[in-house]
Amino acid sequence: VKTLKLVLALLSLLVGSAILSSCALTAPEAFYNEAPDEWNKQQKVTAFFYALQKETTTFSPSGRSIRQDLVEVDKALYVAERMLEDMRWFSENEEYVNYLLWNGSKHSFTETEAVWKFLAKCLRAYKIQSDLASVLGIRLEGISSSKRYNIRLITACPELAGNIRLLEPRIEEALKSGRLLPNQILRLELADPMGSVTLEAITYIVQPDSPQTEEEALNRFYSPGVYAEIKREGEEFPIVRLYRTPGSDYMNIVLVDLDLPDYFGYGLPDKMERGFYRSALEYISAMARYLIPREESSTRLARKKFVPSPEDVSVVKSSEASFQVWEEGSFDLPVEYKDKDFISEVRLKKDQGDRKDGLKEVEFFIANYYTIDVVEYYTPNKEYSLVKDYSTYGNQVTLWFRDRPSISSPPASLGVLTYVMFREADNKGWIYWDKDGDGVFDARRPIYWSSEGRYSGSSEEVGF
Amino acid sequence: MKNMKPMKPRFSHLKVLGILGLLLSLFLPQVQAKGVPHYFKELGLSCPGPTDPLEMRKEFLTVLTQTRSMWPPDVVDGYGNVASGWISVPNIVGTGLWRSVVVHGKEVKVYLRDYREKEEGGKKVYLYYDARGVKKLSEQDISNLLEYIEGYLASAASFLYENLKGLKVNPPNTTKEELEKEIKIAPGVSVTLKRVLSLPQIYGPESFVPDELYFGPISPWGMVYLGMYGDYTRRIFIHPEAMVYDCLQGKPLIMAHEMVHAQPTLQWLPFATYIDVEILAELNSGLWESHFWELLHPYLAVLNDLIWAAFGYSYMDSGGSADFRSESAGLIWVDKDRVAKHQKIWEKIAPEIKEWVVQDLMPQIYSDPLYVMTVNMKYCWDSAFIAISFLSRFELAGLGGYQATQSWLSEREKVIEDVWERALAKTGDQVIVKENKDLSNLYPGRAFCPQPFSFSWVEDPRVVALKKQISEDYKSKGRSYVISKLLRGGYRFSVPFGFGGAR
Repeated sequence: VKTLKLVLALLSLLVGSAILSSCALTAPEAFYNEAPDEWNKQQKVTAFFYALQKETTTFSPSGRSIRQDLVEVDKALYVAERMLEDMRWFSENEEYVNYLLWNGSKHSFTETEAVWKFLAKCLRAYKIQSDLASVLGIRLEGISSSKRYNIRLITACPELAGNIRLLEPRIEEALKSGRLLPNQILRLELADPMGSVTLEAITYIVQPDSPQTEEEALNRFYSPGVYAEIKREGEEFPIVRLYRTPGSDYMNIVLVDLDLPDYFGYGLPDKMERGFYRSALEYISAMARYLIPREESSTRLARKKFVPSPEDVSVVKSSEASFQVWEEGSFDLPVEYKDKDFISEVRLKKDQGDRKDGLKEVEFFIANYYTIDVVEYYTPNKEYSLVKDYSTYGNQVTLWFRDRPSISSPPASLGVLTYVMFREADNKGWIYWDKDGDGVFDARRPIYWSSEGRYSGSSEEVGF
Repeated sequence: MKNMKPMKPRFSHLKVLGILGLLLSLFLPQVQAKGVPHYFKELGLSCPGPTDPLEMRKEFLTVLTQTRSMWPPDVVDGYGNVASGWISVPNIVGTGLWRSVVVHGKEVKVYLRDYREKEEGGKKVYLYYDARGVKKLSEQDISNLLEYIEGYLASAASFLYENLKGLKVNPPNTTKEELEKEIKIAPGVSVTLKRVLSLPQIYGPESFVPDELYFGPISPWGMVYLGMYGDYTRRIFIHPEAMVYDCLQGKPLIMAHEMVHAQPTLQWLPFATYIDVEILAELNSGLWESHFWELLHPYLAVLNDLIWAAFGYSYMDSGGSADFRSESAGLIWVDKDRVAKHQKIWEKIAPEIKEWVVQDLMPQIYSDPLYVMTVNMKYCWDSAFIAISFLSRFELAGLGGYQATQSWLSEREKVIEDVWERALAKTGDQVIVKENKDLSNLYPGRAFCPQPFSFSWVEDPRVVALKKQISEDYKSKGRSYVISKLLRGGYRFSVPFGFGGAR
């Protein structure tokens, strides 16, 4: 009975079924699998919770509390990135887009995405700060010094750009004391069709305290930089920082900030990469196209399938010539066929309207030169267009009328030649059109020639 | 005919429930004075039902025999559990009646699905459809129903607010000023730190009131479609039978369960896929039921594991409450002593669990949802943080009392450590299960951590059956079929109560 109360929150369902189908092992399940067989189920359950309690809580005289340092910054960053990945997946999956639009999540989707981008950028900056510190031997203080996640990291995000430590103390010291010399300062413009940017780059070298020899004094101008910064002109924070780790001949660590000044994340590194550069210029020449700023995009949910407006719904009948692209001009038929055999056919109009007189309206009299794939279409003369009945035999058409004697004649005597269709090669053919019946073809267009279904039998089979 | 009467504060020794009792006695008489749903009259309902758990059960089952003929479930298993719910011909929204009610100052649009309006001799009459046929209702019947629904929504929202009003949480080491400060994230997008941390925003009972309520038979008793944090059209779907159940138990707990889901700062996407939203909703609602039957709820499977280890009690493991049940005869012989014992235990432990939920669990989770998600990820288990919270409040004493349990554990300290280390090394591993392998692509990422798990589910025949069904659908009809079936609530998770439970 209580099963009825199975309440469904949409996505919990997905989880609910994913569990069943998927294969990631939960900690209790793994524990349960590993536990000694001689323990009964309750003992296994109890032992698991004991281990969990021991790892995750701390005991004090006032009771236990949950440890606040259970997870690493990397892991929190992973969750934030996966949240964004989930949202990207929602936005690309049509069923989910329609679902989220239906339940009015359009605005909150955009905001939620912005929030998790914020979290991901901030946590990523902490991670890079920490990675850089271990490579360069920077001593971090306060909350940043721990690799563990703590909510203080998040509350400090808004001011992080001003507080993040990305310079090793030696360099900081040298900058202050003037021993870090700008060896190469340059200003250059980059542009591509999507935008442009003016960059300022400075590569620093360290001046020995007092050069002992002439060589030392000279070398300093040729020695590779120890630190370099690339900024967009007039901006506060560098977008690229290059570092030389002790023992390396090149600047080999690169921090890149992808954000524009109006966005959270400006001033915080987004990437830490390895490379080999002697100067900022070298980096710029290698990476130029990535340095031109691009606006950050946010996802807007939009229905993927639109209902077109009724005017845009096209109904084109194959019988209507207007959709066909005709080449206008004056054309001569390139085929000689008049001496060949043909058989006659009669094509009635498809739509005979509400005709109550029992008569049939002829659309074309047709001469089919079946041996050479040429077909002529004659528009009936007025007096032959309404018939009581008809038959064909060989090249003759016989027509019966209501109030006149019948007549037998080839199509050419019954109407005006309007179209000629012929095959040129394989499935290619042409149709020529004499619009005004003056004997000159005024238009033509290529056609697909299908021999399927074309006449090939005796005349008796046709027309009745 | 009686309607909802004020509950006696059963747990008056407990402050929080004292408040609840008071609260119920404040608003329920109003409900009583107002309308009674027309189908309640047909059922001869007397609410609340008996206080004795067994009598209550009998009353409920008797009523169910009636409601099942009003809204017949498609498939019922041998235990009376609905295996596949009410199958209805899909109705286009608008076929029924739209009405508005005002709940805690907020307009709720109520959709009465199986009702139609008609003119008859210049007068409005109403037609109502269920499996028993078409009935003619008066304007008064409709307004009685709406009044009742209004009171029902109001009481559920008040109930939740009383428990959760303290959730204006302050994360550790943060000040209010910090939380309210606007941060510019992008051109035109500024948010508070509170928003960044996805903290709950609950200002009054109205924070739990949905935008739309759909009243009519559905597969489960209640249902919600989640949206993104903070702002979406909250639609709650409720089965008329659920309202009967809540009436009998005298508390609007099924509605409260749905309202927890529909509170857009408590449960939202994609957060909801990293935590167990069902146990959280149930711990904030069903746990307030007066009777131990609540422990049979599948969403409380993890809680059952926890109280087994900590308190030494498991309904399932202690043989349930029945002597014998005959599927063929459709009868259960219940042992009254067992029922009484279970009830005594419930009365001993439920208040403690409720205090934990209100005082610890909810503030802990909602002071830093990102931390909770990351912890769940670490253990690849969507209830990990809930378990940790429980274990920070209660000591393990399930193996014959505190001393005995602790000495059993310390004697095995080394073994447990080894098992724990081996288990952690394997946690999150992809276990290849042949028949389900292709399903891991169903929702990228969801085949990974965190996953739900309860010891109570292991070897569960229904879990196995559902697994098979999804797998078969996937093979024969493809991914988009499975997704759309999921979206429509086509796969419901049901865990058997078959271990002697009189459900």
